[in-house]
Parts: sequence; structure tokens; C-alpha cells
Amino acid sequence: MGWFLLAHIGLPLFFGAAFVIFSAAVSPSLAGWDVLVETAQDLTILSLGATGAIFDNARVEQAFGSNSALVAIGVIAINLIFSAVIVFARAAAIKENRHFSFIGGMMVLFVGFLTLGLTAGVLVWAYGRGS
Amino acid sequence: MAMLFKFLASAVGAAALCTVILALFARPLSEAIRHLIYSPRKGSRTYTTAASR
Repeated sequence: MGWFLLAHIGLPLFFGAAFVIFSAAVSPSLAGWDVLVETAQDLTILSLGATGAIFDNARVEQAFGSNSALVAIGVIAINLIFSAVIVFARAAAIKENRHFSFIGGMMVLFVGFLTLGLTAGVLVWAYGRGS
Repeated sequence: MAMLFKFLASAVGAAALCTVILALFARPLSEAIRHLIYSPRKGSRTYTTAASR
């Protein structure tokens, strides 16, 4: 249970906090709740990058067997769709020259966390089935 | 199949929980970081560039 909480809540929060710091440090003029959207985009980039490394893990390969590559591509495809949603929301805001509200920023951030949860979930699934 | 649904539900629930927690402290954290980096320090000199003179 502790590991599950760490994988699904602890680690995403640490990464999210790090990305908030990065975003705030490099852009002094992020108005409204745009920092949440910037963080969501960083989370999806992290998820996409981490997926390849996760599927290189022997335990994960063992859990999914011959379908391992297929599952990896599926996870990447879902993450790409989510990241496209985030980019679309950002582009729409920039086009209309407006900033994100708290609710809007939270919705986009949720999508970002979903991608990270999906990627971390693969590990939890693989190690949960093995034990 | 039931395990898959359980997995998806836990992923969605965890993402929602993370979103709420991070959204609560994202703004104070980002403002603190900006304050640390961009606010002029007490006693520091103000430099003017050639263009602004």
C-alpha cells in the first residue's frame, strides 16, 4: 500500500512541485493559473520519456510477455493524445489572448497527472502481479 | 477485466488527488520562487543599461 501511494501520489506530486518551480523560475510573467498548464505539459513530457525506460525493465517485460511492446506503444499513444489535449487548450488560450482560470488550470493539470499515473501504473501493475 | 477497471479507477483517483493538492500550493510556491529570484534585494545596487540611460 505504501509503495502504491508513493507511485501514484507521492512521486507525481514531487515531480509536479519541481515543474512548478522550473516554470516560476524561468518566466516572471506567468499570469493567472497558467503555471498549472505549464506544469501539466511538463508532466506529459516526463511521462512520454519515462515510458520507454519503464518497458525496458525485466519485470515489466515478464508481466506483459510477448505483448510488452504493444502495451508500451499503447501507453505512449494514450499519453500523446492527452498531451495533444493540453497543447490544444494552451493554443486556444494563447489565440484568444486570455489566461487560465483556477478550474480550467486544474482540468488541464488533471490530464497531465493522468499521463504520469498511467506510466507509473504500468510499474505498479507489473510488480503487483509478480508478488 | 475487473482488475483493469480497478487499476484505471485508482489511476484516475490518484490523478485527481494530486491535481487538487498541487493546485492548492502551486501558486504560493511559484510566487515565492519568483519573489526569491526577481525581487531586488535590500541594499543591492540598481544598475542601468546603456539603452535605458
